[in-house]
Amino acid sequence: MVSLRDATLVVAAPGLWFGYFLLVYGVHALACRFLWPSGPVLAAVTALTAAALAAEAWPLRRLARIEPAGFYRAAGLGLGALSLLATLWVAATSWMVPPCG
Amino acid sequence: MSAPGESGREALNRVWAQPRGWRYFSEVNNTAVGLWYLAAGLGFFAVAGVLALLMRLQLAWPWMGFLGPEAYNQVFTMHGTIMMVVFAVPIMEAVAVYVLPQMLGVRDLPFPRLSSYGFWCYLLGGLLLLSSFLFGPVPNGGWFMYTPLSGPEYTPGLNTDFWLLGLTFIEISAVAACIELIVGIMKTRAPGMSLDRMPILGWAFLTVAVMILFAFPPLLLGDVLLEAERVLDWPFFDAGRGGDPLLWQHLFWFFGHPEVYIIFLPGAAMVSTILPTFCGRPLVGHQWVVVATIATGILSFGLWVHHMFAAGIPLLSLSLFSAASMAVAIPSGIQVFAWLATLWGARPRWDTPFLFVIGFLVIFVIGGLTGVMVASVPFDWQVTDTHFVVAHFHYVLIGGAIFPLFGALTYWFPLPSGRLMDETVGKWSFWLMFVGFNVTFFPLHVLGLLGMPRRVYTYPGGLGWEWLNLTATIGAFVLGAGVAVFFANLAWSWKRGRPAGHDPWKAGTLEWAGPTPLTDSGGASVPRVRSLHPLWDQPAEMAAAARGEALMCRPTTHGRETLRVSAVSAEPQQVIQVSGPGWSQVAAAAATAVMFGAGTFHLWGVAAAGGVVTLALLTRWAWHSDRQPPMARVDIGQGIVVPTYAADHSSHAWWAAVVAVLFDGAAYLALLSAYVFLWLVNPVWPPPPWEGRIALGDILAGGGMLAVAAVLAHAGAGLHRRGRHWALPAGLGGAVAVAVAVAWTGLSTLTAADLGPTRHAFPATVWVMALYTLVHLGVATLLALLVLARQAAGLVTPVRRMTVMMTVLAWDFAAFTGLASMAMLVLWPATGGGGGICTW
Ligand code: HEM
Ligand SMILES: [Cu+2]
Repeated sequence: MVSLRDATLVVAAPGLWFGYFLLVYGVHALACRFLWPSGPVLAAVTALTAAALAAEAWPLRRLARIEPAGFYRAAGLGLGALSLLATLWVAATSWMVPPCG
Repeated sequence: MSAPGESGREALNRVWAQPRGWRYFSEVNNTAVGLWYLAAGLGFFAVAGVLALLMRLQLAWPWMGFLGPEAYNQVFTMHGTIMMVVFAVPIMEAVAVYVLPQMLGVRDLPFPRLSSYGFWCYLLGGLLLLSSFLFGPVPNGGWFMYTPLSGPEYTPGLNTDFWLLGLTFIEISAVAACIELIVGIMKTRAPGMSLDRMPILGWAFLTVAVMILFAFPPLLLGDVLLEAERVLDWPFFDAGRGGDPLLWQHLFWFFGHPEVYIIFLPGAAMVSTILPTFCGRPLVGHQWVVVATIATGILSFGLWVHHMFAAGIPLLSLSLFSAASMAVAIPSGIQVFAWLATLWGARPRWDTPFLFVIGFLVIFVIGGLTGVMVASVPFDWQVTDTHFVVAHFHYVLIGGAIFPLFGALTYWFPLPSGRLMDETVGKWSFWLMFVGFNVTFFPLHVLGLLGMPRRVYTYPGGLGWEWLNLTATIGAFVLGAGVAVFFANLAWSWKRGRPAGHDPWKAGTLEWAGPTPLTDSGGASVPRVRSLHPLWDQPAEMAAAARGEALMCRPTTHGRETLRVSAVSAEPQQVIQVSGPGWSQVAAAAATAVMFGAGTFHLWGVAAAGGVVTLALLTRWAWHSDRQPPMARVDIGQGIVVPTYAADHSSHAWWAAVVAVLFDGAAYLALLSAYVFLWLVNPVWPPPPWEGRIALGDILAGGGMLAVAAVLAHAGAGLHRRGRHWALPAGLGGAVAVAVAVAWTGLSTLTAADLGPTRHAFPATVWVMALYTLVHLGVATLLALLVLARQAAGLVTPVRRMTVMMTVLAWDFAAFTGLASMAMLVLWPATGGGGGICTW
């Protein structure tokens, strides 16, 4: 049976994206205020988020066995893919634009 | 339990019977409250619509003298505010309250009295906001009420206060709806309706409820801070004293942008409901629409700054939010493609609801395109504050909400009335609205590009704006006529429409399982669901259920009841007794209105009296809840036996408590963010006068005491559960005693530190954080006293301990947030060479 934990996993990805988004915003705000270099921190945060989003696919595979209709797995993978896309999209902008000013 | 000789159906009709005469308004069931909610929402829509027509009249031609500048300010502020927060969000909640229980196949959502309290607060709040027209100080600062214009210096009258008053009530009703919807959707569905078989409407309202949970608290905080600045002169938004007007913009738009999607997602879900019915086939890509709904909901939280592109914010914020704003077009696009794919090759029936859906598609796509345009910063800089933006957001709002809503009203009209709305008149209303809408708002794009600003009461001739404006005004009256025809159709068809009979649209979802109009009990029995479209895929079973041959075909306890199921797979877990008619929710809403209404006029005595009465009524309400029916387990049919009471983490009551705490926690996070924001904009934080004002030992002692209070509450509750009855008074009593000590020492420490809150935003923020903890300790104390009183009255036992669990949760929360505030004060790095507020 699909448990509440599985269902939570299915919807977790966009939450990860939101956390990432806030982190990027926050790190930049701090970095611009105190003139820190923010590049390395951002690279690390981005890599971590992307890895976490990709890693989500593993536990979702288990759902394929317990749920033949494929709803939860498809939803989980779809949300994961969208969140990954949004993450890279945000990362790209934060790289291309000079952060402060 | 049925009386002797009574059939199951008779017994159901008896316990669910709606009171007659004026007592009708003591009803709490969704079929009544949902209708009032809808009616009130449409009433407010009509008022705001008339205001819109007044504005369009004034703008019809250069130098019209019909509305002066001040009146125009008031009218656009009231139009925008009523449309956005008093009409659009509540009417979506209204649809949810009315339709969802039927669609999910249950008799009612778990907290009907709470929904009803939310409704009355909403109604009174909306009326209080409108009453500003009688008293004079009509809000005039625009629907987003920017500081410093809305602050004490530039709006010394009560205008802003009326606005804040109205919003307070909308907040209350939104919290009520949010709890009811999250818990209701997750915990009360027909058995077998696992999440993968839940209709899109359920998903949309679940998403929306979660969005309300995180979007409304920052607004609530903003309201409190703004009111504090206005009444107490605490300078949160005053740049001269360490505040920042942009703080308001952040708090407002963190709510304001998701709000647009709170309106749009249910609209889209109505489309996803109506479209398959009229095409006679399932929605193509059901799960992708679910994905898109959830993704839109969450992505929409990363867009708020796109309303501040012209406010002078850093370059990176511009590009981040611009990118996110474009990204959100992807999930919306997925939905549009799913609809198009469903339409593809289908032979739809072109009845009125379907027409509204098509109208929606056309209008919304145009609005979405201009949305992507304004998401690009350079373009936005050109058109911001022009009528281009007015055109854009009316395309999304009217396209995304009004058209689906009117389609849905036509579609579901048979449920309450048993009749169909007149088709011919319906088509007239649609075409008038569709043509009128485009004639009104399309020219505004051009006007905006020609440079006509928004929020101006008139304009000079000779700029080439005359004819476009006149066209728009004519269009607005055509649109208004369409709405009027629609309303007339509603009224006429209510008694005289063609009888609808059973499932008039050949729909697949459960709200159509029984006869129309719906019976008071919402169905003769509760079916077991095996499909996303039970009426299409299991017709025989649904017919049997409608004859009363499935589950819960008679009340097994004495009262109204609904079924609680497991959150994901929807297996029966408990029969919940839900509230029946009564007046306490009406009285509590009235007392709440007295409290806030009198407060607005600074009649503090009356306000305090209202507060006391509200508290008393809520206490009485709490006293009567969490009762256990006499029978411990009941047979709901087909051999399924479930308990009638549970005090564990799967209980709906516990879920409700957790949702409430999350809401509160989101408000707290907003407060911490405000603190960090002010720290970022101030060169020195804390400012020199407050450096080293508090001994670290004092803070540590306060934190320690908070932790002790929570531990005491836990220990008392834990031992009580194991049968030590004395432990509850000992633990909770101890916690209360410690809380009193914390409050006392905390207040004296702060006073001694000379934190005059009017001098600077820093001390003002510290005071808000301290008051936050004090209020929460107060609430936890009241709950503890309530639990002890209930225990003395024999209402709390080691088994029947839901109120104990909630009380412990309140202590945990108060202690946790209090500790976090202290940590923030001590640890948040001081800048500019300052040493922080503590002496180490
Ligand atoms: C029924 C047809 C409607 C018409 C003819 C209409 C017309 C207008 C006009 C003329 C303005 C003022 C433009 C200006 O001078 O700045 C306005 C502003 C606005 N409208 Fe509407 N409107 C309609 C429906 C709606 C709906 C359904 C909503 C939301 C659900 C809405 C939300 C707003 C908002 C938020 C503002 C901005 C108010 C402000 O500037 O503070 N309107 N509308
Ligand atoms: Cu927005």
